[in-house]
Amino acid sequence: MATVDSVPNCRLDQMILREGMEVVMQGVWPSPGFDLFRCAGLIPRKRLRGGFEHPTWIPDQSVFWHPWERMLAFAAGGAKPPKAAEGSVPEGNRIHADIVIIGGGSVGVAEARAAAETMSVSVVLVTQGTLSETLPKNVIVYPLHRVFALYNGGRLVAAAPIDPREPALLIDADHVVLATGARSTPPVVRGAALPGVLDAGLAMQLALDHGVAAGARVAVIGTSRRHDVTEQLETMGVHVVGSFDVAAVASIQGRGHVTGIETGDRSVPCDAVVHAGPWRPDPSLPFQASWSGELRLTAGEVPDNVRVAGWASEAPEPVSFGARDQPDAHAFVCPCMDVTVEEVLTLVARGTVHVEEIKRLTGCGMGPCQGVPCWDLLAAVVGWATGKPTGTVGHPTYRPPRAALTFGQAAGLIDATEVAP
Amino acid sequence: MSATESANIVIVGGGIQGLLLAFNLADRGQKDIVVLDAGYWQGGASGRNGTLVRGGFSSTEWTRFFEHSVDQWRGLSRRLGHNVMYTRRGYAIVAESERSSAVLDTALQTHRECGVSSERLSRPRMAQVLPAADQTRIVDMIHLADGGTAPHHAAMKGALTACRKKGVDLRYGTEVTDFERQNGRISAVVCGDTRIDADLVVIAAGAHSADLATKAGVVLDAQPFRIEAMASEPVRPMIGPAVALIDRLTYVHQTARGEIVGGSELAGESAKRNIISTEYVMPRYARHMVDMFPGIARMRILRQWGGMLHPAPDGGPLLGAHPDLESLWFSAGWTYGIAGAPGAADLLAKAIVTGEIDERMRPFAVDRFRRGKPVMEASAVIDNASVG
Repeated sequence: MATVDSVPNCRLDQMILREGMEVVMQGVWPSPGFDLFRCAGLIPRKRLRGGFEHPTWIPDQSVFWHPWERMLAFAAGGAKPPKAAEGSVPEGNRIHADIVIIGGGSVGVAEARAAAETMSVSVVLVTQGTLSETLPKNVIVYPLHRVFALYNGGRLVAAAPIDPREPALLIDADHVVLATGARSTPPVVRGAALPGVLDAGLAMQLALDHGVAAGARVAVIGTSRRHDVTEQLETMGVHVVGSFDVAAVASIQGRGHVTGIETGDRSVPCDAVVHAGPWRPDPSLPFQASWSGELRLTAGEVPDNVRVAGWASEAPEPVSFGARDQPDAHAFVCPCMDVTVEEVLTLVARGTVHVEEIKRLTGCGMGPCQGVPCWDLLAAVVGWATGKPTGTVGHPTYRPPRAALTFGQAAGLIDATEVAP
Repeated sequence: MSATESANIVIVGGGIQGLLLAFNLADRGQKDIVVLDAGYWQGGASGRNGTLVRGGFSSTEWTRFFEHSVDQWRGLSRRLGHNVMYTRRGYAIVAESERSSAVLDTALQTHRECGVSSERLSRPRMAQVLPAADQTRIVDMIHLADGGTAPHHAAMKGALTACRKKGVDLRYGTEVTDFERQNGRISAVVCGDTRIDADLVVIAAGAHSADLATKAGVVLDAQPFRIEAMASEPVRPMIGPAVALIDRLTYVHQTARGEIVGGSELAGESAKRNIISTEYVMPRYARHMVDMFPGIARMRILRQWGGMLHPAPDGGPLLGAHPDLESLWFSAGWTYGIAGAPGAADLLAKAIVTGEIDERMRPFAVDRFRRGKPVMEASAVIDNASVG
């Protein structure tokens, strides 16, 4: 994470370098070269349950508490708040479409073509990438946009461009097709949160769009559906040292960055690991289209106006614990909030088995990724520890925005929305 | 009925009100206290609120009551044996119109009468207290030094831990399906197949309190009301105190982990009961925030969520025994629930155990509307037109 051109919390691995870019590293103090925050690594893991904000680390209400809180706020905040800038509230748009297709992969494109065959139908396709092929004229494409919510039972699609200077978009949709594909879920093994571990989607994007290999020696791990990824990476010139079944991976090795993987009875040196499976669809948008409840929001049947297509409609592959028959205590469930398997197991052993309670006690899933994929890992670990089938453990609520949008983009939607009476 | 149990006091609702009341009752020597909750721990408003705490309002009734609660907040960590992270970071009430400034006049007068530490800020002090704010929009500002925030995860954990230590029987995921009455008094609480005979029942079930009252055969003057809040990505300290923008029905603060958390109530929206996120609250809250804190326009919103208040027609809490059914008590009608919880728990426990109704609690009696005695309060961030 870094502050880029005075905008905080930018992921450097997802930004294209530009001439004159001003980059300030975050999460280091006082400087990247001499970083006192690294001392936190010396603290035993057990003392960090619940993070620095929970009672092990906060003095009881006393004179020490307030200075400690200020210090926490400074450290946790990470980056300076941005300064006001001109034009940071782009005025949003609201349009209508008979069919909205979310996802610009092969399934999304095929769905758009099929829908556009009826010439009188208005079709909109929203994709976070760009399309290389031309679609029929009655398909309006919004590239580089992320759908951040399905409101009102899926009848209102909300999207925001990745570029925060561009306006957000609301689409009243008669029908929605979710062609959001499936994404690879990291295994619950130690080392899976090290820098150098990438999901297949990101590795392919780096290679395809930017001609950058994930590493000099890349190990691919995954389910039986990993081979396409391996082949494609090799075709694009990435040096793949091996393709391994994730169920045989005992750990990912390294300190500070990946140096190898331990699989079967051997250790394979590499400097990057690409995980390609287990593949699981992103649960957020179907959840929002079907949620109900007052005591707790739960997913129901996706309503008739929403259809899930392609990979997104297939059953998720089970979360992998690697070569172990139980989750590795030292593996992360949620790397953003430093939640380990050990911490979750400790809570379960004390009787806290509700995923919403675990979320509130640990902060699991409350970082920038908002629970994707870590709530799947959480459900798998809780399911294992309680002996319940994973599907019955449930997830915390997948709230909007699925992808972050700026206050400016949100504020720009004021004239496009009405307060329901 | 497959099982019959008995308890001295049954509290329906395991939120901050129910837990702190159970703790206070146990602390006063009461035994056999059972807390029932249909949901999960922190699943209701106690896990969804804005965490703001203040004592100073514009009416003497609200100010006396909430100032007592602020006093209780200060000593709460020590009493519970667990840091509830209550921080006296101050509370700024911001007026952006002459009309609101007049509300602050009344408020200051009230604060002086009630001995609340509050300060009307000069221009340079305003810029010191809220440097990130657009100073040209601010007409007037009051700063309450003792106000602040109490993060619900810490407060609820403290309350839960302390209740367990005191031997309170806590049951989440346990829905009350019925009440039994005998000779004009409530006699038992029914949860599916289980009946719990009780000497006294307190309903502290947030937005579900009125439904439960109906089940018990009495009427409670309050209705569920959905509001939404949002959290930003974390940044270094930008907004120091808790802030109420009273002209905008907007409240906000920055947490110890750097997120800016707040929400806006929408004037004219009618009462709704659900916790689903909508498309129309986020833009309005974002607009208010961008207007007042222009730098925030380039920061990102990480999540939005909904929760339910339970406002009575005047927005104040409903505290005490119900006049129509003996032994049935309420701690309901909450809009400033996290601020008022320790005070309400203290005064209710005192009333239940000693029979003495404290003067600070008396104005909030459950039957005040039928007696024609609502408590009017102008500086709360509540749209009285839409709740009334």
